[in-house]
Amino acid sequence: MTSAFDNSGEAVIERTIGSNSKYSSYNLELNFELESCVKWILDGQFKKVGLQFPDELLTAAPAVARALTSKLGFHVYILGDTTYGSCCVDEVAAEHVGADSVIHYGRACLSPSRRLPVLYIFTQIAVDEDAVIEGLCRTIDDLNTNLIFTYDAQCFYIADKVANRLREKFPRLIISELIIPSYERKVNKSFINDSSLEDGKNCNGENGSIDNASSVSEKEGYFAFNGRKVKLPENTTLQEYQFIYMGPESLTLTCLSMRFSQQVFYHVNPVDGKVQSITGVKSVMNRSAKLELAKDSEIIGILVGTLGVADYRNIINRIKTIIKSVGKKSYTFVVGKPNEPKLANIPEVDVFVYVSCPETSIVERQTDPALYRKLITPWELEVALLGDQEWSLNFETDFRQLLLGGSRHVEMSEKYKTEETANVSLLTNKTQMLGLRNDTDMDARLSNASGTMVLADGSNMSLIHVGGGGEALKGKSWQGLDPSLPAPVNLGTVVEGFKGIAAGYDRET
Amino acid sequence: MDADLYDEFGNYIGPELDSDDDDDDDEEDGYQDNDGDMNGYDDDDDAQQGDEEEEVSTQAVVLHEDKQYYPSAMDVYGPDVETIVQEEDAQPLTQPIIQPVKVKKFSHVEKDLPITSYQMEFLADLMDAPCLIRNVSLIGHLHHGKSTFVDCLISQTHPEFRTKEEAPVRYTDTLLTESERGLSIKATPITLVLPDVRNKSYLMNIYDTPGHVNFSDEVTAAMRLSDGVVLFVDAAEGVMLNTQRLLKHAVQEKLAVTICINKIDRLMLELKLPPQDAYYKLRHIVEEINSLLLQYTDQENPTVISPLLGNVCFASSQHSLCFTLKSFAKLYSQHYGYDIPLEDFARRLWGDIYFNPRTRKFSKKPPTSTAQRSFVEFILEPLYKIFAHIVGDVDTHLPGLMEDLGIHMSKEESRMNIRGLIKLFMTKFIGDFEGFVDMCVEHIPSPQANGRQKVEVTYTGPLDTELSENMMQCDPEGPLVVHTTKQYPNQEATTFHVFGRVLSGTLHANQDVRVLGEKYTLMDEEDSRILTVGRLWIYEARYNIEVNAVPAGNWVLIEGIDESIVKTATITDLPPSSELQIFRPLKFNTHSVIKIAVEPVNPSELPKMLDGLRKVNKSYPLLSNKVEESGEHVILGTGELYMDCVMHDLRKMYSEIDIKVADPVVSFCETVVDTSSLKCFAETPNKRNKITMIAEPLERGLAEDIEGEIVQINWDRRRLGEFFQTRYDWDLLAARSIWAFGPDHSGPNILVDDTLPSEVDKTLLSGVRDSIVQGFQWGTREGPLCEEPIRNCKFKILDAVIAGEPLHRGGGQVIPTARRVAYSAFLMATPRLMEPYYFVEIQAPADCVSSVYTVLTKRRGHVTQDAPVAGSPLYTIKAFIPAIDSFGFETDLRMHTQGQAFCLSVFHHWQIVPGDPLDKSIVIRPLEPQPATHLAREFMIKTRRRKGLSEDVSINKFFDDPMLLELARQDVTLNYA
Repeated sequence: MTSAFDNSGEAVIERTIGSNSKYSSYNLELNFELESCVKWILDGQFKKVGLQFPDELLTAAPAVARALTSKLGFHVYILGDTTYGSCCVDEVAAEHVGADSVIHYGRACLSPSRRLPVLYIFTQIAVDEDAVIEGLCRTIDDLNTNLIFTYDAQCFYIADKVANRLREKFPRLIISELIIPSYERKVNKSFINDSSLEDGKNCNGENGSIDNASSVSEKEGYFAFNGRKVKLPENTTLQEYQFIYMGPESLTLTCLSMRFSQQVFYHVNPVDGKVQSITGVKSVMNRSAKLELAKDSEIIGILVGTLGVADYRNIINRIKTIIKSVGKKSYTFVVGKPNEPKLANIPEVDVFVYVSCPETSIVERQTDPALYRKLITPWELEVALLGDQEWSLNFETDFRQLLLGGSRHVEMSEKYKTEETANVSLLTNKTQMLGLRNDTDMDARLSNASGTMVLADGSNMSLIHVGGGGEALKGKSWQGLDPSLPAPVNLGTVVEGFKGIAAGYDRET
Repeated sequence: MDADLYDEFGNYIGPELDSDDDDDDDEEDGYQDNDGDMNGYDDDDDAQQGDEEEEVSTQAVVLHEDKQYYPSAMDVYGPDVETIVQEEDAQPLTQPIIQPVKVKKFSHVEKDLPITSYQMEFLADLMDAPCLIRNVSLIGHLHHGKSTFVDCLISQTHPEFRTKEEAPVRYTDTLLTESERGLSIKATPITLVLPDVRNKSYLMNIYDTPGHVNFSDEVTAAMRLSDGVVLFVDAAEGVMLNTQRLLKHAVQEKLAVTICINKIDRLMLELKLPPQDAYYKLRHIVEEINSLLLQYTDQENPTVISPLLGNVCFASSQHSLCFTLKSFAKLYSQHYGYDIPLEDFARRLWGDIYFNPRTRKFSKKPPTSTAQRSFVEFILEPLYKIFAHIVGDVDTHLPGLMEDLGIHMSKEESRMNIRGLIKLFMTKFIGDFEGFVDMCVEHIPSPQANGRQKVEVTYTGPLDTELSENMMQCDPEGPLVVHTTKQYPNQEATTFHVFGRVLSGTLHANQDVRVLGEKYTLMDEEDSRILTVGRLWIYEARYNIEVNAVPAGNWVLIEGIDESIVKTATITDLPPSSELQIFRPLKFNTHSVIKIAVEPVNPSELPKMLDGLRKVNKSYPLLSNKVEESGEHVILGTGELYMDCVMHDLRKMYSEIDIKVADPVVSFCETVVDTSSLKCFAETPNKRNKITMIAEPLERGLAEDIEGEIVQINWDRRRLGEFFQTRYDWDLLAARSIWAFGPDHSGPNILVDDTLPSEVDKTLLSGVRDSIVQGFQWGTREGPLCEEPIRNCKFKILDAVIAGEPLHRGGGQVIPTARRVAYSAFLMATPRLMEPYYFVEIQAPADCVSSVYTVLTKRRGHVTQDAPVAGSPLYTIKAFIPAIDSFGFETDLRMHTQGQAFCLSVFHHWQIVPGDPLDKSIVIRPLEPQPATHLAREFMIKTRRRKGLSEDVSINKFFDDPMLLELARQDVTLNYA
């Protein structure tokens, strides 16, 4: 009984995963590509390897780990319970064991990470080629349609094959490639040119750091989007294309269809070849209500949903600057996987900007209405608050595109200050203010607050931030640890504590 | 011409000229193409020529494909210029190549300042004397002649103003749509200098308001700025739906009430009543209004209106006729040259008073059996005679009559058609509308005299401060305070001008002011801005008079400060006086219950549409916007006509894009009809708190009292408790422990703490009070059935187990739980859906009454009253009809009655929709009318679909496992779980 109101994660804990027949009889060798894993580890001379599995594959983890250990001769580590979305590489967890590399199994959003070398093993799902091709031929009448073939990472192993067969039917089909971020180790230059990478199906020879990759691909006439790239023939624009997406229904598809919401997506199910044509216009339009919410809110929370995706610090800084420039207040929160009770602890915040990888930043309304209501993406925030960032039907889920060098970047200087404008709010039907007040009185107060030293005792806190966080903090019954308290004198001896997980310790139940 | 330089054919043969003629140059160069025309073609490109010269000089063989005959576009224009060659016509034939400049025109405007019978300077001077100003709203039912009446005033003050004979101009209907539809949509002010009976000039600020019930919000805005109203009543139709409503509203707003019985010509020409009956009819109207006034004012001394008091005037605006008893008495005294005391004579012209010609005295008893009342004898009979002579026998009798009355007409004038003739005659006979002005001056207080009243009714701040004193005194030297209630778009509909009233001080053009919005309070100063006033005008409907300063007591149209104003605003000067608070937002006498969802046809034009939505929101006082979570943009308005006007403005004036509109729907409410069948409890996610609640319906009338702010949550406990004890029989304990109203401070639901101190730790409970209230507010804002607000529901907290450690009872734990338990209590108390009901007033001839009944029954309507209108062949039918079934009702009605019936409908109350919304056995088939008992289910499911919610309410979501076990144990039939 999963409920939106009782999102304590209990459901996840109590869910029975073990008897997943699909993976009970699978071939470790084939599904987890142990051979290439071993090769990659040995080639990289890694000593401590973390294996990251999504929840649904955790049952297979021990077996994989055992197999790898026996082949390598040293232990590998299983990283369970990912901090954020399982589609991203959990570098924080990897660092807990001091791992020097990570192998990521399962679906991936392919967001570039910064710190550790990563090998992606997508695990494969069965694709009924004939059914897929037949289904598509039945749905798409015009054989001369301009098509772009996209696919789920788990179908990657067969994508080329399917695409080539499709191209016989649809001559104007082009295939998109996955940009697989791989870590460049400066000490080990030869590793990059290692031919071994080519036979590992999962690396398409796209080496070097992501920045290089995208700039290189742009030079080559590639168009990069959401961890994918496509080479458009000359004199054509993306507007002329329709998309085919092969793979199970997933957030990847949602993101893609929202990114190109004016285009039709033919979503083909790889198992039975059923084709659905969908567009993301509806979702993009639905989310337009959030812009008004962001404009109306006085306090905006920045919810950190990743500690791995590259540039996440830059975007947080940028968001902070933007929020400040329009005269609103921002606070940064790290809550792990967000859910409604967690966010309800901070009732002062009207709306949260969720900084995370493209796929986790979209919460669908059907899955969690309460979260859907509160979270917006960085792009939406910029559209709402920055006059220059224009709203369009191409929904940007990837916050990296907003940064300098990204396709959606708009100029914003450090001392950016918006003139105050007022408008009618469509939610409250009251005045909606944006921008900083050109009020000398206010300026004085601001400079006063930041420039002079104030003795920070409890009563002064709320005086400093009148109407802001100070007041809210004062109203709270628990104000956090008090640093002015003397440290406890007699520390007890270490004793054995509870066992189990935080939601219910062994002894309690 | 030098002859020997040219041959006989005119060709030049003289010596070579030293000109830079290209012909010659090329010949010299030995250029291959010796054709002069050819060279003329590319002569402006020297570089090109140079290239070719080189090629020529090398004598190399040039392949065919390498030959370049013409320079490329890049050669000609350089690399910086992009050249596009289009082979096909991309532009459609219908589109002109050069677009003419598009002029947007939405309203009638005078090009120059028109000539007036008074000097503009005089008008401006009068503004400085508040005692000579009257701020008056003309209100009344639809088509009772308000705008036409203003036309008469205009024609008396604007010599060049010409009315067309067929249709009145309606000077104050400035919008083109208003003239097309033939009714006023916007309230429009006009300022005139008019003389009273003694020929003393007054500055009359007159607000002409729309009479259609849909636009009552405009009337509310206009009344806020006025000190009194003139209620227009059609003499033939009598008191109608909107007459009643507006009268009530004016009384509530504490405005002075005067009456104008208009269209008295209809009694003579249309109904052809004998004078005696006409008198009865008029007297009946006066009595009817008096009885209404008695009903609305429950004071010791209710307001009374009577022609004898001078606060009733009679008019026929179509024929330019208007008089009070006093002004008619003046006619007699002027005509006979006697110096009779006007007041005394006027007092004997109404009521059961008769004139005895023999004794030449007035008496209470009729001297003879055929004697007529003085009003009939002295006023009605002469008027009847005039009408009869003009309509009946212009050629024989009229000249004699004119001679008697000393009226002269030119030959041409006397040959006009009847309507024009009556009008002209009346203008010459009755003269200006002195009676009307006299009535306003006598019975409507000046801004100065009414200052105290106005401030008491509209100001939120304390009344004993110096500032309030200034406003009450209407002091032009005091600190500036302006109250604005309306915004008018400029000519191009790009920005708005703000219209308001100066209550204190003097507003200057180009002055810096501080604009306070409706959210402003002394505690939260967020909603205020400093802006610079642009120009100032006196608004005259179709022209504006620019002024430099506007002193207290006057109305003003302000440029340049509209940006931060949504509906109403309070404006002060700088530095703002620290004590100023705002004026109350408008309190309307109707609700917005009609909803339409809009969407741009082209999705990428969404920002344009949003911009348009913001603008219509500013321009309609009661319009509200909503963005559903499903991304649906919803507009809420009062009725079909209202929405139609809004959509016109949105599409044509403010956004100019194609907009899709979904079928209109209505707002719903959710309610309960029973007490929860068992105590509902829920635990917080950390299992350390447990709240128990039940829900039950509120006492009858309580919801309306809360909404009408007859009882307010911010009263002190004692007063609040007393109210509930005495008015609604609550016990002391419950009455003292009311925690909140919801969803807002005046929402029609109550949260009561019904726990006993012996069972529950009250201190702990009060620690989470705010969180529980928040959960309650949230829950009542969007109920569990279809996320519509809950109404008429009382939630009682019966028990609460609250964790001791503050950490375990944070808002995150308690708020969602409080909401969940409120939902489960609600669902256990027989939930029902409520829909808005309209009150409809239909006027139809007797033979149409049965078809009116048919139409009403088809739409679930029912008749409450059906009675003939006194002195007319019409019937008035009063009925209730569900708003959701009222779409197209008017058209339907007219179709069934061949256009003879006329109706007006206005929101009246909320009523429970028949049927159980949660009955799963009901199957809703598409495109099929549902039987009555299925309606609740149908409405709920369709609303849920529209909002993008799951098809059915998942009850389980709101109940904990232990709660479900409890349900099973008690064997509660939860047939929909």
